[in-house]
Amino acid sequence: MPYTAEISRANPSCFLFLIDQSGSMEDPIPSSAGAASEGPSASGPTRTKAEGVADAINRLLQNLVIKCAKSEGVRDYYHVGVLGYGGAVKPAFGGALAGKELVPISEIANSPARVEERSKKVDDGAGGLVEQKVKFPIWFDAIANGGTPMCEALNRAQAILTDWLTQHSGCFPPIVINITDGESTDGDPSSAADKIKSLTSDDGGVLLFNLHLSSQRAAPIEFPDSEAGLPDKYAQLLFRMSSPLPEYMRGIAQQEGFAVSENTRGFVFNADMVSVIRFLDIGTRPSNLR
Amino acid sequence: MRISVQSFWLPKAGNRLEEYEDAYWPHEPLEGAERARFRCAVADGATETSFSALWANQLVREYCRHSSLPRFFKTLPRLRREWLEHATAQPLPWYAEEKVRSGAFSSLLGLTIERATPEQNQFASWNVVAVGDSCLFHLRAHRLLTAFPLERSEEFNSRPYLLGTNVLGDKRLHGHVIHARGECAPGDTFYLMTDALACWFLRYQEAACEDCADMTFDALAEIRTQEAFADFVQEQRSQRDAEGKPALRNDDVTLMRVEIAL
Repeated sequence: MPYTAEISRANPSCFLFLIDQSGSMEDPIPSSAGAASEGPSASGPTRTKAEGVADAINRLLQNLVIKCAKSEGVRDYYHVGVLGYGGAVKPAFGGALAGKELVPISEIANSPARVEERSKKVDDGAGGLVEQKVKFPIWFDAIANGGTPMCEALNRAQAILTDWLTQHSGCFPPIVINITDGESTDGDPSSAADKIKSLTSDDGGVLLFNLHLSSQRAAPIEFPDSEAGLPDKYAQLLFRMSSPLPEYMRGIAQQEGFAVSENTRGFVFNADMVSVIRFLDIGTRPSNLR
Repeated sequence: MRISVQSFWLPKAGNRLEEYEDAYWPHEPLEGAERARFRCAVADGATETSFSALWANQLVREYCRHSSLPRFFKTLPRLRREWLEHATAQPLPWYAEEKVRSGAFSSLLGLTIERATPEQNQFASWNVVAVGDSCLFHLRAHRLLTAFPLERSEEFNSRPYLLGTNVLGDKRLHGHVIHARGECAPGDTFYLMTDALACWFLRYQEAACEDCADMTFDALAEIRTQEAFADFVQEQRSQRDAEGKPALRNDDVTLMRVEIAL
Protein backbone atom coordinates (compact mmCIF):
# COMPACT_ATOMS: atom_id res chain seq x y z
CA MET A 1 0.00 0.00 0.00
CA PRO A 2 1.66 3.28 -1.09
CA TYR A 3 2.27 6.31 1.14
CA THR A 4 2.31 4.29 4.35
CA ALA A 5 6.07 4.18 5.07
CA GLU A 6 6.91 5.29 8.56
CA ILE A 7 8.72 8.63 8.70
CA SER A 8 11.45 8.39 11.33
CA ARG A 9 15.00 9.52 11.99
CA ALA A 10 16.19 6.15 10.72
CA ASN A 11 13.98 6.43 7.63
CA PRO A 12 13.59 10.15 6.94
CA SER A 13 11.61 11.65 4.09
CA CYS A 14 12.47 14.66 1.98
CA PHE A 15 10.97 18.05 1.13
CA LEU A 16 12.23 20.06 -1.79
CA PHE A 17 10.91 23.58 -2.25
CA LEU A 18 11.29 25.42 -5.55
CA ILE A 19 10.88 29.15 -5.22
CA ASP A 20 10.36 31.48 -8.15
CA GLN A 21 12.66 34.49 -7.72
CA SER A 22 12.21 35.90 -11.23
CA GLY A 23 11.72 39.53 -12.20
CA SER A 24 7.98 39.03 -12.75
CA MET A 25 7.65 38.42 -9.01
CA GLU A 26 7.96 42.17 -8.45
CA ASP A 27 4.33 42.55 -9.54
CA PRO A 28 1.83 43.12 -6.76
CA ILE A 29 -0.67 40.54 -5.57
CA PRO A 30 -4.19 41.53 -4.60
CA SER A 31 -4.42 42.35 -0.90
CA SER A 32 -7.08 39.68 -0.41
CA ALA A 33 -4.74 36.92 -1.66
CA GLY A 34 -4.14 34.60 1.21
CA ALA A 35 -0.69 33.09 0.76
CA ALA A 36 0.32 34.42 4.14
CA SER A 37 -2.51 36.68 5.14
CA GLU A 38 -3.68 34.51 8.03
CA GLY A 39 -0.39 34.36 9.82
CA PRO A 40 1.72 36.74 11.80
CA SER A 41 3.55 37.60 8.61
CA ALA A 42 0.70 39.48 6.94
CA SER A 43 1.92 42.72 5.47
CA GLY A 44 0.36 45.72 3.77
CA PRO A 45 -1.80 45.90 0.67
CA THR A 46 1.10 46.57 -1.74
CA ARG A 47 2.70 43.17 -1.25
CA THR A 48 4.59 41.85 -4.22
CA LYS A 49 4.55 38.25 -5.40
CA ALA A 50 8.21 38.02 -4.30
CA GLU A 51 7.17 38.97 -0.77
CA GLY A 52 4.38 36.42 -1.01
CA VAL A 53 6.93 33.75 -1.98
CA ALA A 54 9.22 34.70 0.92
CA ASP A 55 6.31 34.59 3.37
CA ALA A 56 5.11 31.26 1.98
CA ILE A 57 8.50 29.51 2.17
CA ASN A 58 9.30 30.98 5.62
CA ARG A 59 5.96 29.78 6.96
CA LEU A 60 6.31 26.34 5.39
CA LEU A 61 9.77 25.89 6.90
CA GLN A 62 8.61 27.25 10.26
CA ASN A 63 5.70 24.81 10.38
CA LEU A 64 7.79 21.87 9.24
CA VAL A 65 10.40 22.59 11.94
CA ILE A 66 7.71 22.92 14.62
CA LYS A 67 6.17 19.65 13.50
CA CYS A 68 9.50 17.88 14.08
CA ALA A 69 10.37 19.72 17.33
CA LYS A 70 10.34 17.83 20.63
CA SER A 71 11.41 18.89 24.10
CA GLU A 72 14.99 17.77 23.49
CA GLY A 73 15.37 19.43 20.06
CA VAL A 74 14.32 18.91 16.46
CA ARG A 75 14.13 15.34 15.18
CA ASP A 76 15.43 14.81 11.68
CA TYR A 77 12.30 13.32 10.17
CA TYR A 78 12.97 15.30 6.98
CA HIS A 79 15.84 16.44 4.87
CA VAL A 80 14.95 19.70 3.19
CA GLY A 81 16.19 21.66 0.20
CA VAL A 82 15.20 25.02 -1.25
CA LEU A 83 16.09 25.76 -4.87
CA GLY A 84 15.68 29.32 -6.06
CA TYR A 85 15.07 30.03 -9.74
CA GLY A 86 15.37 33.43 -11.40
CA GLY A 87 18.68 34.82 -12.61
CA ALA A 88 20.04 31.32 -11.87
CA VAL A 89 18.86 27.95 -10.56
CA LYS A 90 20.70 27.26 -7.31
CA PRO A 91 20.31 26.31 -3.67
CA ALA A 92 18.73 29.36 -2.05
CA PHE A 93 19.82 29.16 1.58
CA GLY A 94 22.35 31.67 2.85
CA GLY A 95 24.59 31.74 5.91
CA ALA A 96 25.69 28.40 7.35
CA LEU A 97 23.51 26.51 4.86
CA ALA A 98 24.73 28.34 1.73
CA GLY A 99 25.23 26.09 -1.27
CA LYS A 100 23.72 22.98 0.35
CA GLU A 101 21.10 21.11 -1.67
CA LEU A 102 19.52 19.03 1.12
CA VAL A 103 20.02 19.49 4.85
CA PRO A 104 18.48 17.79 7.89
CA ILE A 105 15.55 19.81 9.25
CA SER A 106 17.36 20.39 12.58
CA GLU A 107 20.05 22.38 10.79
CA ILE A 108 17.39 24.56 9.20
CA ALA A 109 15.75 25.04 12.62
CA ASN A 110 18.99 26.34 14.04
CA SER A 111 20.04 28.50 11.09
CA PRO A 112 17.41 31.11 10.24
CA ALA A 113 18.89 34.34 8.83
CA ARG A 114 17.19 36.12 11.74
CA VAL A 115 14.30 35.66 14.16
CA GLU A 116 11.77 38.51 14.22
CA GLU A 117 9.30 39.17 16.96
CA ARG A 118 5.79 39.67 15.67
CA SER A 119 2.42 40.23 17.24
CA LYS A 120 -0.27 37.67 16.80
CA LYS A 121 -3.89 37.89 17.91
CA VAL A 122 -4.87 34.77 19.84
CA ASP A 123 -8.01 33.56 21.52
CA ASP A 124 -8.03 34.63 25.18
CA GLY A 125 -10.28 31.73 26.17
CA ALA A 126 -13.10 34.09 27.13
CA GLY A 127 -14.45 34.93 23.69
CA GLY A 128 -11.98 37.74 22.99
CA LEU A 129 -8.60 38.18 21.39
CA VAL A 130 -5.32 39.14 23.00
CA GLU A 131 -2.12 40.19 21.34
CA GLN A 132 0.78 37.84 21.89
CA LYS A 133 4.43 38.25 20.91
CA VAL A 134 5.66 35.33 18.83
CA LYS A 135 9.05 34.61 17.35
CA PHE A 136 9.01 34.37 13.58
CA PRO A 137 12.12 32.94 11.93
CA ILE A 138 13.16 34.33 8.55
CA TRP A 139 15.26 32.30 6.18
CA PHE A 140 14.36 34.14 2.98
CA ASP A 141 13.73 37.72 1.97
CA ALA A 142 11.99 38.76 -1.22
CA ILE A 143 14.13 38.42 -4.34
CA ALA A 144 13.04 39.24 -7.91
CA ASN A 145 15.36 39.22 -10.88
CA GLY A 146 15.94 37.45 -14.17
CA GLY A 147 13.71 35.04 -16.08
CA THR A 148 11.64 32.10 -14.81
CA PRO A 149 13.60 28.95 -15.72
CA MET A 150 11.00 26.59 -14.25
CA CYS A 151 11.96 23.68 -16.53
CA GLU A 152 15.57 23.95 -15.42
CA ALA A 153 14.49 24.13 -11.76
CA LEU A 154 12.32 21.02 -12.14
CA ASN A 155 15.15 19.18 -13.90
CA ARG A 156 17.57 20.11 -11.12
CA ALA A 157 15.00 18.91 -8.56
CA GLN A 158 14.71 15.63 -10.44
CA ALA A 159 18.50 15.14 -10.27
CA ILE A 160 18.60 15.91 -6.52
CA LEU A 161 15.73 13.52 -5.80
CA THR A 162 17.16 10.77 -8.00
CA ASP A 163 20.26 10.83 -5.77
CA TRP A 164 18.18 10.98 -2.60
CA LEU A 165 16.05 8.01 -3.66
CA THR A 166 19.11 5.92 -4.46
CA GLN A 167 20.17 6.32 -0.85
CA HIS A 168 16.69 6.21 0.73
CA SER A 169 14.73 3.70 -1.32
CA GLY A 170 12.36 2.80 1.52
CA CYS A 171 11.39 6.36 2.42
CA PHE A 172 8.01 7.99 2.45
CA PRO A 173 8.03 9.59 -1.03
CA PRO A 174 9.62 13.04 -1.22
CA ILE A 175 7.33 16.05 -1.63
CA VAL A 176 8.23 18.89 -3.99
CA ILE A 177 6.45 22.20 -3.45
CA ASN A 178 6.85 24.70 -6.27
CA ILE A 179 5.95 28.30 -5.36
CA THR A 180 5.56 30.42 -8.49
CA ASP A 181 3.49 32.77 -10.62
CA GLY A 182 3.53 30.05 -13.25
CA GLU A 183 5.04 32.15 -16.04
CA SER A 184 7.86 29.83 -17.12
CA THR A 185 10.31 31.43 -19.56
CA ASP A 186 12.23 28.30 -20.58
CA GLY A 187 9.38 26.34 -22.10
CA ASP A 188 6.41 24.24 -21.05
CA PRO A 189 7.32 22.68 -17.68
CA SER A 190 4.79 19.80 -18.01
CA SER A 191 7.22 17.12 -19.14
CA ALA A 192 9.84 18.11 -16.53
CA ALA A 193 7.05 17.85 -13.94
CA ASP A 194 6.06 14.41 -15.24
CA LYS A 195 9.66 13.23 -14.90
CA ILE A 196 9.72 14.26 -11.23
CA LYS A 197 6.41 12.48 -10.58
CA SER A 198 7.71 9.34 -12.27
CA LEU A 199 10.43 8.99 -9.60
CA THR A 200 9.48 6.50 -6.92
CA SER A 201 10.57 5.07 -3.61
CA ASP A 202 9.36 1.61 -2.56
CA ASP A 203 6.43 3.44 -0.95
CA GLY A 204 5.13 5.40 -3.96
CA GLY A 205 5.74 8.22 -6.39
CA VAL A 206 7.26 11.61 -5.64
CA LEU A 207 4.54 14.18 -5.00
CA LEU A 208 4.65 17.53 -6.80
CA PHE A 209 2.48 20.30 -5.37
CA ASN A 210 2.17 23.83 -6.70
CA LEU A 211 1.43 27.08 -4.92
CA HIS A 212 0.40 29.67 -7.47
CA LEU A 213 0.85 33.33 -6.55
CA SER A 214 -0.92 35.51 -9.04
CA SER A 215 -1.63 39.20 -9.68
CA GLN A 216 -5.09 38.16 -10.88
CA ARG A 217 -7.93 39.47 -8.77
CA ALA A 218 -9.64 36.18 -8.06
CA ALA A 219 -10.73 34.40 -4.91
CA PRO A 220 -8.14 32.12 -3.30
CA ILE A 221 -8.58 28.44 -4.23
CA GLU A 222 -7.35 25.52 -2.13
CA PHE A 223 -6.93 21.94 -3.32
CA PRO A 224 -9.38 21.96 -6.26
CA ASP A 225 -10.38 18.73 -8.00
CA SER A 226 -10.87 20.21 -11.45
CA GLU A 227 -9.29 22.93 -13.53
CA ALA A 228 -12.70 24.32 -14.41
CA GLY A 229 -13.06 27.57 -12.50
CA LEU A 230 -9.35 28.28 -12.27
CA PRO A 231 -8.77 31.90 -13.27
CA ASP A 232 -6.10 31.66 -15.98
CA LYS A 233 -3.99 29.40 -18.17
CA TYR A 234 -1.08 29.48 -15.69
CA ALA A 235 -3.29 28.22 -12.87
CA GLN A 236 -4.65 25.50 -15.18
CA LEU A 237 -1.16 24.42 -16.19
CA LEU A 238 0.06 24.29 -12.58
CA PHE A 239 -3.06 22.34 -11.60
CA ARG A 240 -2.38 19.76 -14.33
CA MET A 241 1.25 19.49 -13.19
CA SER A 242 0.21 18.84 -9.57
CA SER A 243 -0.05 15.34 -8.07
CA PRO A 244 -3.40 14.12 -6.77
CA LEU A 245 -3.45 13.99 -2.96
CA PRO A 246 -2.75 10.40 -1.86
CA GLU A 247 -5.59 8.66 -0.06
CA TYR A 248 -4.14 9.10 3.43
CA MET A 249 -3.71 12.87 2.88
CA ARG A 250 -7.26 13.14 1.58
CA GLY A 251 -8.45 11.52 4.78
CA ILE A 252 -6.66 14.05 6.96
CA ALA A 253 -7.67 16.93 4.68
CA GLN A 254 -11.27 15.84 5.07
CA GLN A 255 -10.94 15.74 8.87
CA GLU A 256 -9.56 19.28 8.62
CA GLY A 257 -12.67 20.43 6.79
CA PHE A 258 -11.49 20.49 3.16
CA ALA A 259 -13.94 19.20 0.56
CA VAL A 260 -11.92 16.58 -1.29
CA SER A 261 -12.48 13.97 -3.97
CA GLU A 262 -10.29 11.38 -5.66
CA ASN A 263 -9.31 14.06 -8.17
CA THR A 264 -8.21 16.62 -5.59
CA ARG A 265 -4.73 17.87 -6.41
CA GLY A 266 -1.94 19.43 -4.39
CA PHE A 267 -2.53 22.87 -5.84
CA VAL A 268 -3.49 26.21 -4.28
CA PHE A 269 -4.10 29.57 -5.94
CA ASN A 270 -3.19 32.70 -3.93
CA ALA A 271 -3.70 30.67 -0.78
CA ASP A 272 -1.82 29.06 2.04
CA MET A 273 -0.17 25.66 1.66
CA VAL A 274 0.86 25.27 5.29
CA SER A 275 -2.05 22.86 5.66
CA VAL A 276 0.04 20.29 3.72
CA ILE A 277 2.36 20.14 6.73
CA ARG A 278 -0.62 19.17 8.88
CA PHE A 279 -1.48 16.42 6.38
CA LEU A 280 1.82 14.66 7.19
CA ASP A 281 1.63 11.81 9.65
CA ILE A 282 4.58 11.46 12.01
CA GLY A 283 2.53 10.27 14.99
CA THR A 284 -0.40 11.23 17.15
CA ARG A 285 -1.62 14.77 16.56
CA PRO A 286 -4.44 15.75 18.93
CA SER A 287 -7.58 16.81 17.10
CA ASN A 288 -7.87 19.70 19.58
CA LEU A 289 -4.32 21.00 18.93
CA ARG A 290 -4.54 24.59 17.68
CA MET B 1 -9.99 -7.89 47.97
CA ARG B 2 -6.49 -8.76 46.80
CA ILE B 3 -4.94 -6.95 43.88
CA SER B 4 -2.01 -7.92 41.70
CA VAL B 5 -0.61 -5.42 39.22
CA GLN B 6 2.14 -5.64 36.65
CA SER B 7 3.04 -3.02 34.05
CA PHE B 8 5.19 -3.29 30.95
CA TRP B 9 6.35 -0.65 28.53
CA LEU B 10 8.48 -0.10 25.48
CA PRO B 11 9.27 2.94 23.33
CA LYS B 12 8.62 3.06 19.63
CA ALA B 13 11.26 1.03 17.75
CA GLY B 14 14.04 3.37 16.69
CA ASN B 15 13.50 5.68 19.68
CA ARG B 16 15.60 5.77 22.84
CA LEU B 17 14.20 4.61 26.16
CA GLU B 18 14.02 8.19 27.44
CA GLU B 19 11.88 9.12 24.44
CA TYR B 20 9.02 6.92 25.69
CA GLU B 21 6.03 9.25 26.16
CA ASP B 22 3.39 6.96 27.64
CA ALA B 23 2.95 6.87 31.41
CA TYR B 24 1.44 4.53 33.97
CA TRP B 25 0.73 4.51 37.70
CA PRO B 26 1.37 2.84 40.10
CA HIS B 27 4.96 2.28 39.04
CA GLU B 28 5.62 -0.54 41.48
CA PRO B 29 4.08 -3.97 40.88
CA LEU B 30 1.67 -5.38 43.47
CA GLU B 31 1.39 -9.07 44.31
CA GLY B 32 -1.85 -9.98 46.07
CA ALA B 33 -1.97 -6.74 48.05
CA GLU B 34 -5.06 -6.38 50.26
CA ARG B 35 -7.00 -3.27 49.22
CA ALA B 36 -10.50 -1.94 49.81
CA ARG B 37 -10.01 0.43 46.92
CA PHE B 38 -7.46 0.57 44.15
CA ARG B 39 -6.74 3.17 41.48
CA CYS B 40 -4.48 2.91 38.46
CA ALA B 41 -4.03 4.78 35.21
CA VAL B 42 -2.23 4.84 31.89
CA ALA B 43 -1.70 7.81 29.59
CA ASP B 44 -0.23 8.38 26.16
CA GLY B 45 1.55 11.66 25.45
CA ALA B 46 1.02 12.87 21.87
CA THR B 47 4.03 12.57 19.54
CA GLU B 48 3.40 15.90 17.87
CA THR B 49 3.55 17.90 21.09
CA SER B 50 6.50 18.68 23.35
CA PHE B 51 6.96 17.81 27.01
CA SER B 52 4.08 15.37 26.60
CA ALA B 53 5.75 12.61 28.67
CA LEU B 54 5.86 15.04 31.59
CA TRP B 55 2.18 15.84 31.14
CA ALA B 56 1.19 12.16 30.80
CA ASN B 57 3.07 11.36 34.03
CA GLN B 58 1.43 14.24 35.88
CA LEU B 59 -1.99 12.99 34.82
CA VAL B 60 -1.60 9.35 35.89
CA ARG B 61 -0.11 10.23 39.28
CA GLU B 62 -2.71 12.84 40.02
CA TYR B 63 -5.61 10.59 38.98
CA CYS B 64 -4.40 7.93 41.43
CA ARG B 65 -3.96 10.43 44.28
CA HIS B 66 -7.55 11.57 44.40
CA SER B 67 -10.57 9.88 45.85
CA SER B 68 -12.98 11.21 43.26
CA LEU B 69 -12.98 12.31 39.67
CA PRO B 70 -14.28 15.86 40.33
CA ARG B 71 -11.35 16.36 42.71
CA PHE B 72 -8.96 15.19 40.04
CA PHE B 73 -10.40 17.57 37.46
CA LYS B 74 -10.17 20.44 39.97
CA THR B 75 -6.41 19.94 40.10
CA LEU B 76 -5.98 20.44 36.33
CA PRO B 77 -5.26 24.21 36.56
CA ARG B 78 -2.48 23.50 39.09
CA LEU B 79 -1.08 20.68 36.96
CA ARG B 80 -1.06 22.99 33.93
CA ARG B 81 0.82 25.68 35.86
CA GLU B 82 3.36 23.12 37.04
CA TRP B 83 3.80 21.81 33.51
CA LEU B 84 4.41 25.32 32.14
CA GLU B 85 6.90 26.13 34.91
CA HIS B 86 8.82 22.98 34.17
CA ALA B 87 8.71 23.36 30.38
CA THR B 88 9.93 26.97 30.51
CA ALA B 89 12.50 26.53 33.29
CA GLN B 90 15.30 26.83 30.72
CA PRO B 91 15.57 29.38 27.89
CA LEU B 92 14.12 27.77 24.77
CA PRO B 93 14.91 28.09 21.06
CA TRP B 94 12.19 29.65 18.90
CA TYR B 95 10.65 26.34 17.83
CA ALA B 96 10.49 24.97 21.36
CA GLU B 97 8.82 28.19 22.56
CA GLU B 98 6.19 27.82 19.86
CA LYS B 99 5.67 24.20 20.83
CA VAL B 100 5.21 25.09 24.51
CA ARG B 101 2.71 27.76 23.47
CA SER B 102 0.54 25.17 21.75
CA GLY B 103 0.86 22.88 24.79
CA ALA B 104 1.27 19.19 25.52
CA PHE B 105 -1.51 16.67 25.06
CA SER B 106 -2.14 13.20 26.41
CA SER B 107 -4.79 10.57 26.65
CA LEU B 108 -5.84 9.41 30.12
CA LEU B 109 -7.42 6.16 31.16
CA GLY B 110 -8.11 5.83 34.89
CA LEU B 111 -9.57 2.76 36.59
CA THR B 112 -10.93 2.57 40.16
CA ILE B 113 -11.88 -0.75 41.76
CA GLU B 114 -13.76 -0.78 45.08
CA ARG B 115 -14.65 -3.71 47.28
CA ALA B 116 -18.41 -3.85 47.81
CA THR B 117 -19.98 -3.09 51.19
CA PRO B 118 -21.65 -6.02 52.98
CA GLU B 119 -25.13 -4.83 51.94
CA GLN B 120 -24.22 -4.79 48.23
CA ASN B 121 -24.89 -8.02 46.44
CA GLN B 122 -21.54 -8.21 44.65
CA PHE B 123 -17.84 -8.66 45.30
CA ALA B 124 -16.50 -5.40 43.95
CA SER B 125 -17.33 -2.62 41.53
CA TRP B 126 -15.22 -0.73 39.03
CA ASN B 127 -15.48 2.57 37.27
CA VAL B 128 -13.35 4.00 34.53
CA VAL B 129 -12.79 7.38 32.96
CA ALA B 130 -11.22 7.99 29.58
CA VAL B 131 -10.14 10.92 27.46
CA GLY B 132 -8.65 9.77 24.17
CA ASP B 133 -7.83 6.32 22.87
CA SER B 134 -6.09 4.41 25.68
CA CYS B 135 -8.30 1.42 26.38
CA LEU B 136 -9.56 -0.83 29.17
CA PHE B 137 -10.45 -4.50 28.63
CA HIS B 138 -12.27 -6.49 31.31
CA LEU B 139 -11.82 -10.26 31.01
CA ARG B 140 -13.48 -13.11 32.85
CA ALA B 141 -12.62 -16.74 32.14
CA HIS B 142 -11.46 -16.18 28.57
CA ARG B 143 -14.33 -13.89 27.78
CA LEU B 144 -14.09 -10.20 26.97
CA LEU B 145 -16.81 -8.51 29.04
CA THR B 146 -15.97 -4.87 28.33
CA ALA B 147 -13.90 -2.94 25.82
CA PHE B 148 -13.74 0.76 26.64
CA PRO B 149 -13.83 3.48 25.34
CA LEU B 150 -13.17 2.09 21.85
CA GLU B 151 -14.78 -1.18 20.82
CA ARG B 152 -13.62 -1.62 17.23
CA SER B 153 -10.13 -1.45 15.77
CA GLU B 154 -11.24 0.88 12.97
CA GLU B 155 -12.10 3.53 15.56
CA PHE B 156 -8.39 4.26 16.11
CA ASN B 157 -6.80 7.07 14.12
CA SER B 158 -3.90 9.46 14.57
CA ARG B 159 -6.15 12.40 15.48
CA PRO B 160 -7.80 11.64 18.86
CA TYR B 161 -9.17 14.32 21.17
CA LEU B 162 -6.73 14.53 24.08
CA LEU B 163 -6.37 16.25 27.43
CA GLY B 164 -4.18 19.34 26.99
CA THR B 165 -2.07 21.70 29.04
CA ASN B 166 -3.46 24.50 26.94
CA VAL B 167 -6.85 25.44 28.29
CA LEU B 168 -7.89 26.74 24.85
CA GLY B 169 -7.55 23.27 23.42
CA ASP B 170 -9.85 21.94 26.09
CA LYS B 171 -12.93 24.04 25.43
CA ARG B 172 -14.93 20.97 24.52
CA LEU B 173 -13.27 18.68 27.05
CA HIS B 174 -16.51 18.02 28.87
CA GLY B 175 -17.96 16.17 25.89
CA HIS B 176 -14.86 14.00 25.55
CA VAL B 177 -14.64 12.67 29.12
CA ILE B 178 -16.21 9.22 28.91
CA HIS B 179 -17.21 7.02 31.84
CA ALA B 180 -18.24 3.43 32.37
CA ARG B 181 -18.82 1.22 35.38
CA GLY B 182 -19.53 -2.38 36.22
CA GLU B 183 -19.04 -5.15 38.74
CA CYS B 184 -16.14 -7.55 39.02
CA ALA B 185 -15.48 -10.88 40.64
CA PRO B 186 -12.48 -12.79 41.98
CA GLY B 187 -10.48 -14.17 39.05
CA ASP B 188 -11.27 -11.22 36.78
CA THR B 189 -8.48 -9.47 34.90
CA PHE B 190 -8.32 -5.90 33.63
CA TYR B 191 -5.89 -4.80 30.96
CA LEU B 192 -5.08 -1.15 30.43
CA MET B 193 -3.36 -0.48 27.10
CA THR B 194 -2.23 2.49 25.09
CA ASP B 195 -3.57 2.76 21.56
CA ALA B 196 -1.26 0.63 19.39
CA LEU B 197 -1.61 -2.42 21.62
CA ALA B 198 -5.33 -1.84 22.19
CA CYS B 199 -5.85 -1.69 18.42
CA TRP B 200 -3.87 -4.94 18.01
CA PHE B 201 -6.00 -6.59 20.70
CA LEU B 202 -9.30 -5.52 19.14
CA ARG B 203 -8.22 -6.59 15.66
CA TYR B 204 -7.74 -10.12 16.96
CA GLN B 205 -11.13 -10.07 18.70
CA GLU B 206 -12.71 -9.16 15.34
CA ALA B 207 -10.70 -11.68 13.30
CA ALA B 208 -12.58 -14.47 11.55
CA CYS B 209 -10.40 -17.25 12.97
CA GLU B 210 -12.00 -19.17 15.81
CA ASP B 211 -9.20 -19.10 18.35
CA CYS B 212 -7.78 -15.64 17.57
CA ALA B 213 -9.36 -14.08 20.66
CA ASP B 214 -8.13 -16.93 22.88
CA MET B 215 -4.67 -16.54 21.39
CA THR B 216 -4.52 -12.90 22.53
CA PHE B 217 -5.78 -13.78 26.02
CA ASP B 218 -3.08 -16.45 26.34
CA ALA B 219 -0.34 -14.28 24.86
CA LEU B 220 -1.08 -11.45 27.29
CA ALA B 221 -1.47 -13.76 30.30
CA GLU B 222 1.91 -15.30 29.62
CA ILE B 223 3.72 -11.97 29.80
CA ARG B 224 5.23 -11.88 33.28
CA THR B 225 8.51 -10.06 32.71
CA GLN B 226 9.61 -6.94 30.87
CA GLU B 227 11.84 -9.15 28.67
CA ALA B 228 8.89 -11.33 27.68
CA PHE B 229 6.90 -8.19 26.88
CA ALA B 230 9.73 -6.81 24.73
CA ASP B 231 9.93 -10.12 22.82
CA PHE B 232 6.18 -10.17 22.31
CA VAL B 233 6.09 -6.56 21.05
CA GLN B 234 9.01 -7.10 18.72
CA GLU B 235 7.40 -10.20 17.24
CA GLN B 236 4.05 -8.50 16.69
CA ARG B 237 5.71 -5.43 15.15
CA SER B 238 7.50 -7.65 12.66
CA GLN B 239 4.45 -9.70 11.63
CA ARG B 240 2.67 -8.39 8.54
CA ASP B 241 -0.96 -8.71 7.49
CA ALA B 242 -2.17 -9.33 3.93
CA GLU B 243 -1.82 -5.59 3.14
CA GLY B 244 1.74 -5.55 4.43
CA LYS B 245 0.83 -3.60 7.57
CA PRO B 246 2.49 -4.62 10.85
CA ALA B 247 0.26 -6.56 13.26
CA LEU B 248 1.29 -4.07 15.95
CA ARG B 249 1.81 -0.48 14.82
CA ASN B 250 5.22 0.96 15.74
CA ASP B 251 4.46 3.30 18.62
CA ASP B 252 5.20 3.62 22.31
CA VAL B 253 3.40 0.74 23.97
CA THR B 254 2.16 0.20 27.52
CA LEU B 255 0.37 -2.74 29.09
CA MET B 256 -0.93 -2.86 32.65
CA ARG B 257 -2.52 -6.02 34.03
CA VAL B 258 -4.72 -5.86 37.12
CA GLU B 259 -5.85 -9.17 38.62
CA ILE B 260 -8.53 -9.45 41.29
CA ALA B 261 -8.66 -12.19 43.91
CA LEU B 262 -10.59 -12.94 47.11
